[in-house]
Amino acid sequence: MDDNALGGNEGGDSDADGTPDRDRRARSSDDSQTSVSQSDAFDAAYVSYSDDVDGEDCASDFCEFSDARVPSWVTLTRRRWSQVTMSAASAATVPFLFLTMPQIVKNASLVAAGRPDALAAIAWQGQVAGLLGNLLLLSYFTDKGELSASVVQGVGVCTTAALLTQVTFAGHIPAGPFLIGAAAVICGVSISLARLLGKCGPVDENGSPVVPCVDSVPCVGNVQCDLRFGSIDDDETRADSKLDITSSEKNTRRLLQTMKRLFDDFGNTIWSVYQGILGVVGLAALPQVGLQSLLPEELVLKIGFVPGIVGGSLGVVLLVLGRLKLLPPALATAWGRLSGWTATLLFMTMPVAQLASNFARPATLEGLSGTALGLSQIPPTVCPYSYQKGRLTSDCLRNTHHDRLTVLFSNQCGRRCSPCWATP
Amino acid sequence: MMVPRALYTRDLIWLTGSTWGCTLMGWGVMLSLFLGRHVDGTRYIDAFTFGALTATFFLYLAAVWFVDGVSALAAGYHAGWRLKAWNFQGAADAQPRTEVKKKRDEALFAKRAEGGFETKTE
Repeated sequence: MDDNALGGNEGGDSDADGTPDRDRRARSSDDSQTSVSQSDAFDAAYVSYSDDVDGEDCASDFCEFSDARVPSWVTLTRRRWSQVTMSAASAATVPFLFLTMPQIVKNASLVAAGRPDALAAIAWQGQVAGLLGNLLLLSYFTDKGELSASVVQGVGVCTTAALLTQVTFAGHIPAGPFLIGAAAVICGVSISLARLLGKCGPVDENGSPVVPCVDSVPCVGNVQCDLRFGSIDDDETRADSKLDITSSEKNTRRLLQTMKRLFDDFGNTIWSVYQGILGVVGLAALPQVGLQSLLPEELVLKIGFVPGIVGGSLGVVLLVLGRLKLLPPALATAWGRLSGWTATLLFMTMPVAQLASNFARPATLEGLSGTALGLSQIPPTVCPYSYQKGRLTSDCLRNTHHDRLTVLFSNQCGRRCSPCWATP
Repeated sequence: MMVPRALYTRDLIWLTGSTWGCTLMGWGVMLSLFLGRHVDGTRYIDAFTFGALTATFFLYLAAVWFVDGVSALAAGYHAGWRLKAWNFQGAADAQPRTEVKKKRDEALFAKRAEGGFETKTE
């Protein structure tokens, strides 16, 4: 194939597929990847150019995404691969559900059988930490517009919240903290959902995460910055001036524009505040939970909550400096990705201690069946951020009175696994 | 199953977490079980099962990187195994394009500015 056809017209996808912009943002980042610095007019011209050069209609996916260096038998184009990856990521929701649902069903049956005291074995503190991780990643992925990953994290939030609700109704969690936490979770999920739908946060008029910059700071994806629709409003105002409309209609339109601007500002403020809170909480939780997973228990008891306080204080300082625009641009832009990094690092620290224990003391693995192990590998492979659900701890494995699969998937020995993010 | 999407979007955070999770928590724990032995000397997992799962797992990862790289090259982007493919400044939505693609884009921009498309000649 002619080399001139290389790359075809990725930017033209946004116009060719006819998908609404807002849906496209949530569906895939492929279009956003290709929309940078390419105007629609240029895309159209590029199609015309490619057609002229090739002398054939380049409407097909293969033609659009073909490269002379790629053999002709390769038919997996960028767009098709995007769909495959989306499907795979979406399919991860199903096994993710199977990780927690059996425990929820079992808890319900225990409560129905008049044994709510059995739920006391659940380490709800670890569940709360896991819920925080899910919320962090939910905000991160919704900010990216990754629908499939957002759904997985949303499922994680909902199932963990359902589990904590069961424990609360069983009387093992104080009602006050539970209600406060529930309100915070509902607010967080609602804000993330609004962000996914483009109702808050820095979204331009096309629903794209790429937004204008403030103070020369590139605002892309989950980077925080203000968003103004002044240019659009100005255009509309100029258009109004050309039309012969009555003053009352003008006033009404201006009022609507003012309300829209205020609503947009409110949405941006809400998202910015939420991101700030998550950043501080994530910075507090990362050293606290991470060090608890890695350090010996005696040392953990000695340092107490110092790591969390230090991390949270650092987060507050960074947040204040960011508000005062005293942070370097690199740090300012990194704040939006903080929730993703903190949650990822939290999850990354967890298996290290267990793995070290496994290699150092293989006897702790005694009694673990190979079948159960094979099943336990599925969740982390399917969804990395769910691997806390199938986490094994030495203490858990030593509890031979539990059924192995129950230990793997339900972790009924959660009380002994503290500090532990494992699902009970 | 999340790794392909993380790689496709060139999301370093996502790819780090997903790869770490399935490698360390998945295959790593399985390796520890393969190396560990029962009291009677037998392994927790037999060599055939461990070998088959290991081959499947790493072949899957290799296939994902290969297919993603080919599709990226076909679309005018850098393959994921090149550092140029990754934007470390946070602009994850803007994947760097290959030099060939960039030069062609620049030429097309220049041609468009000159009105060259209307002549339908190249």
